[in-house]
Amino acid sequence: MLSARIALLMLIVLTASIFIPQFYWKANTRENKRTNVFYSPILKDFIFIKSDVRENYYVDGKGKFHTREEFESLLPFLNYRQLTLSGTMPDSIDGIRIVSKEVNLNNINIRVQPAIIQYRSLQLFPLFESASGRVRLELSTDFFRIKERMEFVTSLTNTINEEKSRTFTDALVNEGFTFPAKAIYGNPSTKKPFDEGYFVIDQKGKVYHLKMVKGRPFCKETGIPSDLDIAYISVTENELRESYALMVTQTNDVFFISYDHYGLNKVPVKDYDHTKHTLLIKGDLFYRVITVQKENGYNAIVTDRRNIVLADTSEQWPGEEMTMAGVIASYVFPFTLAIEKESSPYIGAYFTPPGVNALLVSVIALLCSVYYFRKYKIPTRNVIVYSVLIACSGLYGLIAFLVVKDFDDDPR
Amino acid sequence: MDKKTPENVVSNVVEINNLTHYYGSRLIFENLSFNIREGSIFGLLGKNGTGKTTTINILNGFLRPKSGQCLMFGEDSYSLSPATKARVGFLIEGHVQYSFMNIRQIERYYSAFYPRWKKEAYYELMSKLAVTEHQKLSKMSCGQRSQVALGLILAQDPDLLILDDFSMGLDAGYRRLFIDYLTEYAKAEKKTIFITSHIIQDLENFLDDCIILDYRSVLLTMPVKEFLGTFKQYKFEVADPSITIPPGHIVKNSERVKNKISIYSFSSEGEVTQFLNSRGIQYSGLHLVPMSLEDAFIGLTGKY
Amino acid sequence: MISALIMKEWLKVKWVTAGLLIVHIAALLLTYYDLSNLFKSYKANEVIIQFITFEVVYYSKLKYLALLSGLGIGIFQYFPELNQSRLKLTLHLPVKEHLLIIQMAATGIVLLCLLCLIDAVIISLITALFLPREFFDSMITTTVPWYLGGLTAYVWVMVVFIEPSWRKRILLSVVGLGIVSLFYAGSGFNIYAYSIWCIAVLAIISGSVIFLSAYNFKRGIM
Repeated sequence: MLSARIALLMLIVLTASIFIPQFYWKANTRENKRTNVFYSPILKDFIFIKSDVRENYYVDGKGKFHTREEFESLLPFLNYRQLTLSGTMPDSIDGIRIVSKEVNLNNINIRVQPAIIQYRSLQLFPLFESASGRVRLELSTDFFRIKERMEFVTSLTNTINEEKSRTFTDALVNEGFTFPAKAIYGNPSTKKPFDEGYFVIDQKGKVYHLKMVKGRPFCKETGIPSDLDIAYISVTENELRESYALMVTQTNDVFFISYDHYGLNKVPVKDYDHTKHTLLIKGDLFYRVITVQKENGYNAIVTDRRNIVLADTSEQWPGEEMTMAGVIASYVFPFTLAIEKESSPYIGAYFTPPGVNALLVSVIALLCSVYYFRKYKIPTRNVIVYSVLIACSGLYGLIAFLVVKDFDDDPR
Repeated sequence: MDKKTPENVVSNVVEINNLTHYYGSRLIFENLSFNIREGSIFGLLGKNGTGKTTTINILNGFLRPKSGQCLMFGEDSYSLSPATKARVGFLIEGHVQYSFMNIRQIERYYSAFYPRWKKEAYYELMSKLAVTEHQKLSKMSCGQRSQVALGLILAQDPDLLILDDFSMGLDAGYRRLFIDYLTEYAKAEKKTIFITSHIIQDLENFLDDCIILDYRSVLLTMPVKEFLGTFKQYKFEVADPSITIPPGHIVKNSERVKNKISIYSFSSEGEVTQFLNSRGIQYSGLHLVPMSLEDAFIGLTGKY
Repeated sequence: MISALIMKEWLKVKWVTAGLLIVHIAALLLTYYDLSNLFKSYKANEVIIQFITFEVVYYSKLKYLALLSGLGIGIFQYFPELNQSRLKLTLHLPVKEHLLIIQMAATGIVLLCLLCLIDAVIISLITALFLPREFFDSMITTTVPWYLGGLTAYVWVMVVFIEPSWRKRILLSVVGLGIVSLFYAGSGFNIYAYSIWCIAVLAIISGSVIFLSAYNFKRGIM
């Protein structure tokens, strides 16, 4: 029965290490604070919105607080509609005449979260007609997949449109595509200004641009190096038509894929880990601010429109582990197991390894258990099992032992 | 641990040596030892709470005793082999059976397990009950259910029958019926019965041997005939009604109603007379009172 | 012998199984009509793009069916055994005790698997009728944890019922509740994609605890 008892011990340690910390942190959740980073063309310096649940604070790079109105006038590109309304929009900045249409066109906002990168949607996509001659995009009546060939499934009949499938498969084959597709990136939504189709990575890692133009396939090998090991492509479909997409590699390099023959423009990022951090790119007529948001801080880089780095900034604040609750937790919980985490859309066994502090409680738990070993006359063989368990899993082990000791053999 | 010779194994169906059991820290009994001879009808008698069911549970392997040994057909009762289990018929206290089955289903169910299954024995008993074959046990009276349980055990044709308080909840007729069938069964060769009951009167002419349990200890182990032949009740009158006779070597128990005293003893009339004289007790009209097994049981264990 | 044992288990659970079967069929029919009505009310491509974009689990009525069945079959199978210690009757049979326990568990598990199989087959047919293959694949990996959760719940009902001591029964119930809840986290398609093997192992480890409870029953530890 030793094996069944070890199984029960393991199950108790498992549930304890999931649910006890979960309850603990639910009871000790801290107030959410955020910082948004901007770059002011007026101040030529960073400017921040720091917000908590009560209020927004507007602070510039020198630590000076501003009113909302001041803040808005310091960021005329971001707030041009508000400034136009109140008649305070400057005519020119740095000697350049401001045309509101230009301002609007150049404002871009791209956000890439770790969960989006890891998320794999149903591999079935609508292919829009990208040159329909109509104002609005229309949803296709079929959906495509790229497995051993490219196939279109007609939704109404749930059957394959052989002719269309053949035409598109042939187009891909002609460009040297190796089936099946490894990944397909695009925006399967009609709520976008125009359609640039999909970026498809083939079996050999080559990147293809695929769309439908007047019912015919448009298919191009982009020439993006196949050894780049792409983690994610965010197709931008922005009226500026400067780049097709933002691309993140497994090695945390970030590129824009340019409209100019799919050339890659490297985006400067610092300390970026796409599995943990959120990447934000805010662009306007003059600048691009690239922010890496971390759990307890951020760093931001500002470049001009020729991609030259002008300045950077960063901030780090004490993490949850530095709070009272965090310090207590570091002693009490030898490790924690979570089945969900913010940076992943999937259920998994997300393990937080133990720190040195947890050793203290493990030792105390072990000492407590010695008292019980004697009181309940636990046989030596089981004492060994329990001691190892408690040494490794501290509080959880002690709980498991106190539950399971009742299931012990009598010392016969 | 002494090695059993083959003859021993044959002659004793059950051997209990120095059995001690606690529930938590409460002692149930200590160093309980007795044997059950093959072919005998053995009664385990005792008031409620003296450990009768505990002993049965240990015997059937449903309880591991704190210490001591319990052998059934030479095997440790805690880990009986299937072959040995097939030789043992077990009636659970309250005639518990699968109440969701009907008369026919339950017979078919058990018949699959026992090679010596005697279907006729079961249906013979069932034919005497006013029930249909498709009647569920849960829709029967307590007495009828007891007959089903009995019928199943008899059909199993075991070598050892263990009956835990068969009389529970049964009226006099069903109790008598039960004993009649058991007597018939016991007539066959080498069939052994181990029985507990709190109604002693049913067992008087049935038991061969008995053990009487008291709280925490064994009061007596002997053949019933010997017990009834040697254990006696004497009655006499005393002049001084305040006299009390404490239990001891000669007197096992005594009762006094006004100036009439009854004493229970394994000693002869002569020895009792001598004992009373040596105590200087003034008495008159000493005479022997005949006892049933129940009288003797109460005489030995007391009314409380 | 085996058939006799199976018959005994079947007699205990036949009514609850029949009831559960009706619930399963009703849920599957509802799922079918809901889906078929969607395709009558909206254009097929609009339905499908909504399903893809918002990960609409059109078979969500099945989510807790296996759990319900596990609890139902478990309770009906083991309550009569616990009541008046009837398990003693079973364990007194001339068969090795662990085989008896395995056989009891196996009967319930097979019944549960059959119910889950009915769900899986019918929902597969419904999916194949209306939706492309990708939905079928993701439906399988989305629903398997639910089925496993039902089996695990069954195992814990057995563990809790056979355990003779009330105090330990409560402790085991808490652990079982925690374990079973791990099979029903989150929503959307295929979210156990990377952990399906972990929870399968969890289900199997849970199964071994049955023997501990059976052992306690046998030892008569209260």
